[in-house]
Amino acid sequence: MKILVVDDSSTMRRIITNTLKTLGEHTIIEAADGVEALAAFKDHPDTGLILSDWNMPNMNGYDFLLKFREANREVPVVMVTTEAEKQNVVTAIKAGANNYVVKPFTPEVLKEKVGGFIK
Amino acid sequence: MKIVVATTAATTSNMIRGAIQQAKVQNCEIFEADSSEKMAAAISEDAVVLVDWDMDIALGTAFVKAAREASESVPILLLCPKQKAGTVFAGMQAGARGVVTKPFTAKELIQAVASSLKQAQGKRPTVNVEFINPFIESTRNVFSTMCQIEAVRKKLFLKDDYTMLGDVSGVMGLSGDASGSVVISLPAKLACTVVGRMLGEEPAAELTNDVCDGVGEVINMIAGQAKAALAETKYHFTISIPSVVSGQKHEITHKKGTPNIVVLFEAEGQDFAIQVCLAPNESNGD
Repeated sequence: MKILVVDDSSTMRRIITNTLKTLGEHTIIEAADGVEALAAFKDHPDTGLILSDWNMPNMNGYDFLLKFREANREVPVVMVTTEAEKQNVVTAIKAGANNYVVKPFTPEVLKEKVGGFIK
Repeated sequence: MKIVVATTAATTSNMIRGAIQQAKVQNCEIFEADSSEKMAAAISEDAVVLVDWDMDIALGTAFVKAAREASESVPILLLCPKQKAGTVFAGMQAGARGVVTKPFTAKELIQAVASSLKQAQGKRPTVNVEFINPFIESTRNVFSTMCQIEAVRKKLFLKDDYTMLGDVSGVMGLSGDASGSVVISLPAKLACTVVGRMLGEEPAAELTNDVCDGVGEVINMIAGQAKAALAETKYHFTISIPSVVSGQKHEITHKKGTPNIVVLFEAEGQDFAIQVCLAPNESNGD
């Protein structure tokens, strides 16, 4: 399965990737912001899951989610972000996020929140 | 004005005398103290204490502590050689308020002394403690959750100058019901350990771009979690994209006229600092 990891921090992309690797053999595609993520999905339309940060330069995760959902309602998107206020969680879910992980997180929490979307 | 120089080397006092003469400062008495007792006895209302940091760290720290015990308000500045910049944590924790890097020009010394006196004599702004606790809690939580490292809070103090205590600092701007910045400043070795633990990898041997990126993510998480906790009160913020500055004695400016609160932590046997400088906006009611 192809998984797109979107975060402006290369450290956070590696942390997420290292955790995803414990859930099986997957191809990880990385993007540093919403613009790169849209382009990456265009290049890899068979991507089966997207994990996206919220606060990023160029295009933030929320705007990416809105844009992405205009064309695709199928692929699950899990927000992985420091934006922990309830209002933000509700806003993201309304915009089409399938789940929400608040940073900081343990590998167990991340696995629990994304495990159901991994085939 | 009285400058009390705590040093065991006469060259330091001579350097300061030369700077004062060069700057043509009037009515300035310079008192050299080679023991804590002499120094404490010389501290008066209009004094500034300059502690020579080019000596044994324990002795330098003892000087700072004695000066702080002698007066809660006297400005204490460390005269620190560039190569010892990584050791100023101990002096700041003991009660110093700023650092002047050696070698210094007459202008740099006079400006630092004048600025510290002005701040000491002026009324200090009120510290809004409700801003601090969420950052202390989120720091502990980020370190334990992401790095399995216990961060122990050691001390809280105000810091006026812009020189950071660590070798690498992550900075986040906050705006909304209050505005300002939050900074984490770490010694290089601890930064490498923290980022290595986050990644589940061996720590890098020195500061790399990857380590700096990791420090940015650490402050992002600390600020984000504190922001969420503060949203439960009356303060709602938006946070910026983190930026990272590195290098010995690097400087990061903070909002003028707002208390810049430093929380000193210990982790893995090393000190690091969280610096919070936040002021409520006037439109925030009370």
